[in-house]
Amino acid sequence: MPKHILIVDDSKTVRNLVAFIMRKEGFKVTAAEDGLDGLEKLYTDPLVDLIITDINMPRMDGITFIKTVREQDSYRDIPIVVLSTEGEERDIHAGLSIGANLYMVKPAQPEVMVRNVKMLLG
Amino acid sequence: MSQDFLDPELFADFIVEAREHLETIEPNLLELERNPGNLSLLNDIFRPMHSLKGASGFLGLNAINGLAHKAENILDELRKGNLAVNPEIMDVILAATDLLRTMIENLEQTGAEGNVDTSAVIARIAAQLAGRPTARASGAPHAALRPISRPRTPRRPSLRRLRERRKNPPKSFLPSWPSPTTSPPSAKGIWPTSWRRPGRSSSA
Repeated sequence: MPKHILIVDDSKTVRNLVAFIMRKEGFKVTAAEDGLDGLEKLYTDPLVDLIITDINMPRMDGITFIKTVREQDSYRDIPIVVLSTEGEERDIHAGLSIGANLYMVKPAQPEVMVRNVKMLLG
Repeated sequence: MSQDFLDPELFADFIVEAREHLETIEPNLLELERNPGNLSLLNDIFRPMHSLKGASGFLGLNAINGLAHKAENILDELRKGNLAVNPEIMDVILAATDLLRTMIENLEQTGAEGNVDTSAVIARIAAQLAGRPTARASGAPHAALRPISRPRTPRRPSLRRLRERRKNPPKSFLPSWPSPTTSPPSAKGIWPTSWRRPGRSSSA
């Protein structure tokens, strides 16, 4: 059974691109357009193995999304990758300190994204 | 990112998304010019510019990405209050947005960003960010805005032209408003007399 990745990003282009890359690697992919949509997707399809999320999004940003996910017992240990254009030290620190396992700055190389995802999925 | 492996559908999605972002940015920019103190307008402009930067970077569209990045920088300074909206800043953001639209249209029509010179606008933004506003004569044409080649389909008027049109609308387009003494149209006769809101008595 393929591993299941949830991609949360308000840019359709980024969602489709990351989904395209991950599907080529054999992963199942679900896409959400902001943090709130991401929570809804997790609620309706809880068998997600890894989350890739943007930070700067409308309705619910990535920081609130990650915090909320980490508060759920069933998602306390799920690998979370931040994929954001914000690449300053304070942004990376903020993302990692609230529970992300990895912080990648856009635009990330596809092979680097795939390598990191596979590493986190063991 | 290399574009070699990318599905053409991803570019088509990007064009649709980019157009949506520009459709949000442009009217809000014109409104900001009229209400420079409205910070919520700045946020409404910043977010789509940010998304445009992120998505174009992923697709290796370096000219769009570089210009959107600079525009995002100055918008960020404006919304943080580190810079104040002024005519020169508005002018350069409008010029940047026009160039972004030109490149998106080029991408749609030719599959590439096209030979669009963004350096002058980027330099003007950098000068504003550094507190060194450039003295460009008002009304002087942007070299970068001259079309590189004749487009296959008519392009929409530039934001700068729309701005001028708003300031000086052609007289024939002006609606003939009723005089202030004209009484407002009555609702009487519009609603059927037998209609009653459910659950309410006729005397309510």
